Amino acid sequence: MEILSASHIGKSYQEGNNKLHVLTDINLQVSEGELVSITGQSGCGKSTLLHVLGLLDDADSGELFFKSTKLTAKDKRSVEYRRNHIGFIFQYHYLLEDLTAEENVALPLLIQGVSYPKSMETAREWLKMLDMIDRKSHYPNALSGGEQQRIAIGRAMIHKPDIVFADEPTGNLDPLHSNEVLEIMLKMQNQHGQTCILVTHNHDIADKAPKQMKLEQGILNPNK
Amino acid sequence: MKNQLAWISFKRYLFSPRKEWLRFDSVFMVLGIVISVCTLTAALSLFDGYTHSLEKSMLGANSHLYIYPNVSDELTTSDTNFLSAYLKKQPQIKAYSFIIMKPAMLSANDKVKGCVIHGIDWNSSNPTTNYQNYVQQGSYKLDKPYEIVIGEKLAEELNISIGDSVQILRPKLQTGMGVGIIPQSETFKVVGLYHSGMYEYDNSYIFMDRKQASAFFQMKENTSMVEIRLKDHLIRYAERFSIQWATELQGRYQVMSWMYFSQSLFSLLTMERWMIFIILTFLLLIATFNVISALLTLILEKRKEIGILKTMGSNDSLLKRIFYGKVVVLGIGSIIVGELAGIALALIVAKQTVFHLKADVYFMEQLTVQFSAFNLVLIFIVSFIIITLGTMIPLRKINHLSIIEILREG
Repeated sequence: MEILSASHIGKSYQEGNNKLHVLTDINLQVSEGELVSITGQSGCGKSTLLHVLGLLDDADSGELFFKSTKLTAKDKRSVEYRRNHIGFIFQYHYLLEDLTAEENVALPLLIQGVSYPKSMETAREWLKMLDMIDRKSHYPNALSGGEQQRIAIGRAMIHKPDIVFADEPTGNLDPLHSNEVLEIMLKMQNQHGQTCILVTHNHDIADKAPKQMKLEQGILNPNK
Repeated sequence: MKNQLAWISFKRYLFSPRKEWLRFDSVFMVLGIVISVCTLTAALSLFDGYTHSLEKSMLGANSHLYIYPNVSDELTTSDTNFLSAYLKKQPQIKAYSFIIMKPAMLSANDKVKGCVIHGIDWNSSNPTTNYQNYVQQGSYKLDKPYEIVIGEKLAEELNISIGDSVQILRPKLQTGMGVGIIPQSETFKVVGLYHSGMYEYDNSYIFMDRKQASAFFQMKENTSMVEIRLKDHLIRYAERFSIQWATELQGRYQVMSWMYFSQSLFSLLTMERWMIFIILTFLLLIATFNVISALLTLILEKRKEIGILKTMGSNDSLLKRIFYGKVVVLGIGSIIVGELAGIALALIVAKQTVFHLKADVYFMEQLTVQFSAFNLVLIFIVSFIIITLGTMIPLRKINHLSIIEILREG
């Protein structure tokens, strides 16, 4: 079943008198449970594409469908979609410093309105899977970079979103932690049949995805 | 249910190891609210205390209503009989008493001062004033001829002590001699000093037995007016009764209430009270600038967290609740602390003995304090509304924070 479909997406930025065309004609179909990697050189528009696909930013042209529903970031329904159907993992973890590790993992459930005890119970299950249960009461500043990113992975998946967008999830980590986080992410994706779009400039990471795409000159092409 | 995130966030704000509420801007925000609410509470409590004391002294020293004849300055026997019968039928009355009240002059130690003679039934079992309670030095009993009780301040001014003899001069209209009013005097012995707390009364009142006063003023009758004490819960309706009774008495008598005599003073005090409230509320408005800057700083510092919560589908109203909760609960705490500090400050000011009011200007020397639930609730509500309105300005910033800009900042 097709989860996400993008057709003829275009996006440009005004820089002074010049118009910078970042995305010119993006076409992408993602099916349920699929892991898609998108590579490209730095500054080629990978993050912009992810923001458009994740309903964080609007495209200038083209159409975006979530399970056959046409949506844009300006659409009021986009907030509800981000809350219930989408998960994000960013290069920087963006954990809330005042919340403990388990509360950070539970955030999407709390935003959805799930009760605090139930949210914490689910968060602890995820922390076990992430091998972080002994760190559940720690605040983010007491965790290492790899641990913080693992918490961010749990947070992106705890509410069982239809699709997870990962934007350079290991970009801020050293090689050891980078591999560790990637393994966990792929394990979770595999274990839960999670649909995932992974944006990276690292080909070794991209190679782990069955479907690989490359963004070049604003156009998305199959990588192999 | 979504409020639980706001609640958790607020709990962490207060109790997390980082103790964010102890930030420099938060502390100044709290101090601003505490100081302005404290000032407002103390000022209103002291002002209400002053007004209450003034009213209490006035109503203790005087009665609530006075009835006196329209044309003569004395009540005849038929008047007293008629009025007694009429007043007995009025259920609003707690007590009434026929008295004499006339101006005179007091002379002692080569000094002369104007005074008001009160001829009263000093041993009445159902008194119409607090006369007996207010005689704190000497005796209130006026059972022997030529005994008087005089106001404490009057005694101070003329260097009179208990047991001293003084001259009271009455104006006597001499006819046929072409010289108008000439004074005649008699000697009296001071047996007690009267202290109502109201400078004006303590500096002018002289009390003597009603029959003694009648003899002194050479009156044909024994009384010049009736003073009436209303039941306690009806004191505020005195003016209404004065109009009603004047009508029922068909214009034969003047009926005056305590409110009539003090109306302008109490109107002025009421106006001043509201002016104080309004002016001091501006202090709170100024303190609200601290609220605005503290909240704006907090929002700008938490941009990334706002951004990530927005990516997770938090709508602006949830985010606003999170920040509003933090500031408003601190604000409520500050208002309560401010009110408690205001109560303490008012008590200290009222109890201190270093500074005294000028009694001849302000009627009394010592400030008193009166706390009312109405004032405290009013201050709380007004402060809460001002702080809430203050938070609305920075909270609008949340609407304009762009997820993409925040994510690009990294």
